[in-house]
Amino acid sequence: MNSYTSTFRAFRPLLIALAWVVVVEATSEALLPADLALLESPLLHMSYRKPIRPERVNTVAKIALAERMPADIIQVGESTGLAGIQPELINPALPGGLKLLNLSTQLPAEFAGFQAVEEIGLRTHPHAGYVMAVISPLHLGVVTEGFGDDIAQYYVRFPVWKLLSSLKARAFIINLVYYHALSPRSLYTIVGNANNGALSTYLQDRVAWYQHSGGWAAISMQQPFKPHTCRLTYDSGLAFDRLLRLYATAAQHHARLILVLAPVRCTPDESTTTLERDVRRFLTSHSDIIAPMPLLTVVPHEWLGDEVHLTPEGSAQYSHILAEALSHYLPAAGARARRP
Amino acid sequence: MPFNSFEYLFFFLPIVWLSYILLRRTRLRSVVLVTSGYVFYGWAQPWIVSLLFLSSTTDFLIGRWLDRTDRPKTRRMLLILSLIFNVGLLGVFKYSGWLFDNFNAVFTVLHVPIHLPALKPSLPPGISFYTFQSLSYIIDIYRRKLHAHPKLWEYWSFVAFFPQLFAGPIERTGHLLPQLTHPRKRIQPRMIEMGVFMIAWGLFKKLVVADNMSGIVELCRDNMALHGAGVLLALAFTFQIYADFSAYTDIARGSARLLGISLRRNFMTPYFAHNPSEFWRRWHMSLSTWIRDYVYISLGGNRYGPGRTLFNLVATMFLAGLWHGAGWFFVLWGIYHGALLCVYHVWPLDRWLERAFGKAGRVISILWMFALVTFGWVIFYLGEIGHFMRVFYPNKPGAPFVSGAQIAYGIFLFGLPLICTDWLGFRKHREFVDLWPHLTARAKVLVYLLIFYGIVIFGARESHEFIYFHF
Repeated sequence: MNSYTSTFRAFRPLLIALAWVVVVEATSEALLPADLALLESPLLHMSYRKPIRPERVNTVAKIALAERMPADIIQVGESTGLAGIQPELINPALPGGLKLLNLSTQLPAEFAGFQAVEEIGLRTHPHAGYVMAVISPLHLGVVTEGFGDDIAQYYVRFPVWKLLSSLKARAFIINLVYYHALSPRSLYTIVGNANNGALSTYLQDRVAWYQHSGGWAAISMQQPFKPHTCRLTYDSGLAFDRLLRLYATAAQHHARLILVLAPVRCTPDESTTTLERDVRRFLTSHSDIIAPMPLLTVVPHEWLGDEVHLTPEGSAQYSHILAEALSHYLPAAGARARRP
Repeated sequence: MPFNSFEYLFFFLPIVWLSYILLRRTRLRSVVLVTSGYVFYGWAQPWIVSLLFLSSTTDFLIGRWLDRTDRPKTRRMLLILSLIFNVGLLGVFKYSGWLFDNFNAVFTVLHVPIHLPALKPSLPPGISFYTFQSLSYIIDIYRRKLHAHPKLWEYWSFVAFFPQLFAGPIERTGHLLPQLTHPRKRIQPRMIEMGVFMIAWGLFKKLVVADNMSGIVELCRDNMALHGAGVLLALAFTFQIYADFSAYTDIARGSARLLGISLRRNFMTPYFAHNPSEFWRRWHMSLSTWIRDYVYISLGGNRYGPGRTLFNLVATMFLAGLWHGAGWFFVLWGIYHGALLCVYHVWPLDRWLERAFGKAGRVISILWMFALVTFGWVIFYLGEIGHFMRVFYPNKPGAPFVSGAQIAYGIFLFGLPLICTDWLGFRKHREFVDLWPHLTARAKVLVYLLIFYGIVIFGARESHEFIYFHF
């Protein structure tokens, strides 16, 4: 008995603290407005006086989109897909009323991040039968650095973070302590966003736009284009491994992978031939992958705003072509008739 | 596996704790400890486990042989063999690339037509820690202070004890091994609760203080054009390195306490030291006592006159600097601290200040010592970055979007919890964590809540490795 008493006495402060945590979390769940839930995301690092990268904000918006919109085909990848594929134009052409949801993020989300978004998409849409990976051949086998592991950690491996309602207040408190303490003018800076200081508004606007466009967004392109050969710096093993991971995640959820290599503007050369050969070999060894488009698509120059990103007009043209190609490959009830 | 990862906190530690609690009275406890140590160490790079295995097995065998033989020549030979093996391990993985680069530079200057290959072996984390731990075991047997341990699995568990594997404290055989071989009959609940607090406090220091300070260091580095950015960087790094390293130690000691094992203290409010020797009695205590016992005293300590003492101080600190990393800035940092020790040895400024100004003199001596240590950290930071020019003459032109006052406010904001808690500990001649058992239940609840919500709200989301993993 004494042993139990001393054990309880020793842990009493810890237990009381845990009880308080429960009270605080329940209160914040009840009192804090639900529209702040987006700000709970640990991807919004809000470091002291450091700008928030828009790629992170965008990823949070895409994850929120996954939870809000229906989908039979989940699109993942980097900004070539984000700016290049318009579900609004593709969906009417798909057989059987299938719905494509563009969850493509940006390159700093890394391939680990694309895989994590794929996993999130498939978890939130357990009936989705297809995953469409849209990746530029210029990025497929290139080493990238970013926050892909964070997405995987916070949303796939340990989604427990989402349970803390008090995180909704984080942005407000940080704003108060980090910024208002010295000067009333604010706030977080989102790189490239003119509307600095209104993270929640920015995020909500972003999600609202994605809900309207099915996940497509135009991105700003300022690089002047000079014609040149592709000269890919390309690691064949890395590219193979990345495709394999996307394929494995889809297979795990009984979904089929559709592989689309985004169009490029450069002139094909020896390096692109190697890439084509490697991807073809990958497709041969995984015969259930659908490749509706030619592996290397060179589109008219005016469709692309820079080396890899389609302009809104270019993306509309390309979306029509892709819709046409997809309609040949997807049987009317194919998406819902999932892999065995 | 980093302490501040979900894997460690929510899977590894609970599983190991439960297995150890269930099996600690059986012989299988060593198996639990060795397995957990190897899994913990090889989590990211499994091959490095082979080094740990090789180092501990070799020293176990040499130790057994050393203990059995009485022939002085053989004993000396075995000691040298162990030294060559352990220092050689460090030499290959830690110093070879740097040494070869320096040799090549010398050959170029002297026009010698030799070019050594540019080696860049990846540095296995924590190698300096467990190598020194293993080495102290052999030296103690050589000095007849200790008998060789007869059981291999238990010796493995001593070297591979996971909490202190990556960044210490560097344990001594006489302190840790008996706790592993003869576990307590009952682990007191208070010991476990203290362990939980130490882990929580360590996480707070790492995630809130050290990682945010790391961001401020980067802010300073990116805005070197700002007036006073160098001083601010030095201050931010001074807090960062202390919070980072002491956080690791607290989590290590807390994790060990959950298993009923007490690890050595590594810090004792170091920034409240009055003089360099007191600083080294308070900073990284397990390394400074190791170096004192096995290097400084072996060199003769203060037994051969003042000149030799000063030489020994500088030589010892030179080695301490080199231990931290293969680079001239680390060497310079060591020599700088050696020089400080010498100056205070000849002219004890702190005592003079105290005599001249009383209590105010003591405060001045603490502040002055803090300034000297901070300057030392600038040298150390350059060692971390690897290049002087990269810090003070960055390629990018300064385009400050923050002001010096905003950076200073950040340092104040994140440094304040550290200063306040250290001051509380210093007043009682202890560490802050030592005050924990004396707090009332209400105060404990409040501290737990502050720690939890401090981490939730202010904890840095970008993960940073512990700095001392690099050593």
